[in-house]
Amino acid sequence: MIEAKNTGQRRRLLRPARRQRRGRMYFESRVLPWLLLLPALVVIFGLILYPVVRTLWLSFTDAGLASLVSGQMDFVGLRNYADIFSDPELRMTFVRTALFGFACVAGTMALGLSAALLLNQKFRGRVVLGVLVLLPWAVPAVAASIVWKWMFDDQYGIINWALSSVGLSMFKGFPWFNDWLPAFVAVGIVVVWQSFPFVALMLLAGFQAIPQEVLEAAKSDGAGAFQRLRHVTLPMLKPLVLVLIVISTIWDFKIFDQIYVMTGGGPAHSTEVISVATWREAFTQLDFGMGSALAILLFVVLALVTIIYIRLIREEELG
Amino acid sequence: MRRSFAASLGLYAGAVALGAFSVFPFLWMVITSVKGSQEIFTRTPVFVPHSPTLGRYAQVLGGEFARALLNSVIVATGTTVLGVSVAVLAGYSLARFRLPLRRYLLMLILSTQMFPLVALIIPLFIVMRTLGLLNTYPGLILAYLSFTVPLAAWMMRGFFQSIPPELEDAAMVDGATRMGAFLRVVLPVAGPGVAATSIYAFIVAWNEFLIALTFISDEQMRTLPVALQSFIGRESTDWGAIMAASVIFTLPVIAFFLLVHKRLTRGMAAGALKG
Amino acid sequence: MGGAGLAGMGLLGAAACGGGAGAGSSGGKPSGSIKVWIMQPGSNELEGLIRGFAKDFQKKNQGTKIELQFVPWTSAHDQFVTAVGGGQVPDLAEMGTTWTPEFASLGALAEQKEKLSGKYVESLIESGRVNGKVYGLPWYGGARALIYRKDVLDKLGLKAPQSWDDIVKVGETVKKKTRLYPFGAIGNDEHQYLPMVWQAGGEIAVKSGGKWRSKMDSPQAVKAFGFYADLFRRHKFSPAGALNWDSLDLRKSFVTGDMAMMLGGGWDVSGILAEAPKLKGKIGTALTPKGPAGNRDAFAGGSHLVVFEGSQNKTLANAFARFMLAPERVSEYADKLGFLPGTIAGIKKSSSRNDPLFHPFTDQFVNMSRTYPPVPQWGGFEGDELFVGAMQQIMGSKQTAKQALAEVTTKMNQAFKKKTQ
Repeated sequence: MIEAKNTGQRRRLLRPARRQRRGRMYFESRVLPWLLLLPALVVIFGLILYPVVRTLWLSFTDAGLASLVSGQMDFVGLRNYADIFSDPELRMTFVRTALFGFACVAGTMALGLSAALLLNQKFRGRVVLGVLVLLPWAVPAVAASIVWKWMFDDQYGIINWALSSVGLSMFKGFPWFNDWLPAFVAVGIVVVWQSFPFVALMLLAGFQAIPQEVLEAAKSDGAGAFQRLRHVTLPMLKPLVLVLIVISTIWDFKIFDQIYVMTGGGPAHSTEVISVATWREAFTQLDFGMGSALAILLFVVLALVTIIYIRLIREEELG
Repeated sequence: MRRSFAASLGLYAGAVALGAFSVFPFLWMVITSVKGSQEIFTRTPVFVPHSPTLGRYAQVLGGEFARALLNSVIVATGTTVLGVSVAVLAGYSLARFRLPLRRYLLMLILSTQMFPLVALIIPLFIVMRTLGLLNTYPGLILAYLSFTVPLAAWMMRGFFQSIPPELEDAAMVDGATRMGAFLRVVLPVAGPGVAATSIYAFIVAWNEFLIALTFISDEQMRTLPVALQSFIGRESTDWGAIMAASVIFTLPVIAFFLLVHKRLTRGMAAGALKG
Repeated sequence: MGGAGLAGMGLLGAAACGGGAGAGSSGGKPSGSIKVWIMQPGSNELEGLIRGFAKDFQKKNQGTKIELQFVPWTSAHDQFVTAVGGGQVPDLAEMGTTWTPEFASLGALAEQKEKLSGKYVESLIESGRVNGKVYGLPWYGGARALIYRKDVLDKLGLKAPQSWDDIVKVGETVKKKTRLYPFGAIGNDEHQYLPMVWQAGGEIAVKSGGKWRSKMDSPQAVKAFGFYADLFRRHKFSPAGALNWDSLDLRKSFVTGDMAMMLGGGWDVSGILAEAPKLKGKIGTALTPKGPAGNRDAFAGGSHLVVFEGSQNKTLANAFARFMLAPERVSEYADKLGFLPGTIAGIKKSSSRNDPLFHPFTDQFVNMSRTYPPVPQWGGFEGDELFVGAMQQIMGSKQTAKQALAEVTTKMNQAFKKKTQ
């Protein structure tokens, strides 16, 4: 308060500089924000805009590889989209992508939250664990997929060895990649392994931003550790949690490397998700119209999911 | 604060489990990379190699891998420095100013992340060819910027929002310009956010494969993810070498973590004190 | 005018090429620089060999520059598609033989006008022929034959199987008397079982009246796929996980001493011996067992060297290709890869001809091998895992051979009907 009064006096003293200050205020409120934003907008949209528009256009054509070069292609309207919806296999791909994507998001958030809670405690070795937990994130996706695929090897994999050594004899030679369910479990573990460190790191940063007084107050009101988490910490972090869910959803719906390396979408397309189907249609079948349509539909699905999330965030902000 | 014995036990059990899950696959990579080739595939896993060898590391680094390592460092560092700078400015703008259509702008920025990269790769290639940026560091960095800045800006916006606006208001009242207040007062407090965001940008650029594969056709310019594939032949795969290469691939990121981690925790502590 | 020089150069290049790309030396002196894509051979040593070829060539032809790039196999097809679609292709490239018709029919490759017959391995010439024109120079190739544990079979008093029935008989004995898996019946490698369609007397696809038609629903094809799946499903000659094994997984099981018989190439034998020296002297090789039609044909696969139509310097590209195809170079590279040279002169020089362990592969390749139908759609079939998916459905008892192959036939015929894009 005292400070404000002082500055008020000072402002009066500085009256001759007022016009200049006006100009600065206009600059700072109208021009500066855009100036700050400009470089980002240029790098984001300068490069991406043409590819996105072109993909949208291609999705309404029957473009093959030769037509990408010659530019000769037929406009087919919504036929690619109609084909996707009438093909039971491709319809299944969307269901699969959503189920697998959400399962990975749930796993990532659960493990990320547990890790962050653990690292928020005081115990010996906490700093070391804090670094170790980040390790999976540092391993490149392709290398991680190779080493995990190897650990899941039916004959010589360490996972089957360990499980059957502790008495689970059904895992002796268990074929993880013969069917979609165990194959997705294996791939899902790798995806969660690689993405939980990011979530844990961000949540930990969030935890530490919560003022200690709030937690102390809850504690003196008799709230236990779990209650404090449920009624104080998580509600305060809800915006951050929702942002993390949005980001994870976008990543996990687009998973490509891990599936490509570990299952290739097989056996018989049973682990194929949309991004892999996009690649297959475009790069192996050379049907760029269809590939583009799949990409656009994935975009639409993700946009819808994100809008729903953002609605949730906004309600939270209002409430 | 005192903990019950059971709680301590649970805590340490959880810590050990989490640590093992995080580290084991990497550890397995390291062990495999020093094994003799007869010990790699066995019914009972070999945890302690009979006669460990560092030969594969010499073999890997003796080839083109060392050059790829350098390329990757340049590209990832460039992307991180430029990307975080750009994202910090954009994040601040999005957090503090009432821009018209801000919600839509935020959504639009995020929406660029919603396309599968495989669908965009050919038109991106054409853009790069037209700009004459194929086979160059700036070309790769530019491409990575367009894929890291959206989320990085989102992340920075979140961090800036958590910093009370009174901080820079006070500085401005004291006569600082908006930019001055931002640079001298807000940015130092946002240290942990900058650190976290730079980890994100670094890793994206470090690990990216598809763009690096298609935009680079000069042997001398190729980056690590592509070079990693040089141990996979048509009908043969050198598993030991891949593991050694993967370890080399991961180490710089760990070094980067350690570098940034101090700043991350110290910044957090400082932020907590001020808050 | 600024453009004149460029246009002039283009003309010159075209003229030199049309004048007979035969030997680079006859079509004017090669100069300038070219971009060359070679498939990642999988080791520094082999990469070094190719780099050496380029260096020698540049030394011999002053003023030329060979810019080499090694392309990872797993993403090679993607990279070719991007290069063609993005309008920036290499001048010369190594290409898997089953992809050559695909890119040739897109107009991406330059025709090889030289008469190749008699100089190159016939089956590999065939696999690069589209509508009577040849687009690929056979570089190296190979065919799978039988690799088996001689020590194990000898001990049981058994001989290497000569026919499909023998595989079952020998396999059952091995299963009963040893702890080894008898025969590698695996799902994720179509080269193991597609040739069985020929061995059963069938065809994969035939051309009549200028149109290709799938024959995968023929009784012979159904019999072949059913027989192979039964080795896995009924006889349990390989472990449950083999449904999704690829050729590398199969070799791994042989290396660890858990597998008694497998179909593989010379590259597998050298790989096995390198990884498991203790198996030295314990391995036998034999021709692919013959099917009910008395046929032993295996798949002749390999690589072409192709010159791209978009190349500005076809003279140099052709000259460098011919340089690498010289007998001593082609045989050295193929030997080290475990493949056979694509030229007749190269094969005569190849060391594997005299080694009894490797001789069956030469015999198989030269005398008893065929290529898949050289259709532009083949790359698509591979990418779609059309045959692999069908086999896995049969092995997993999700479909009968008849059902699965009826679907395969429909899909193939649909693809043949579609205009090639």
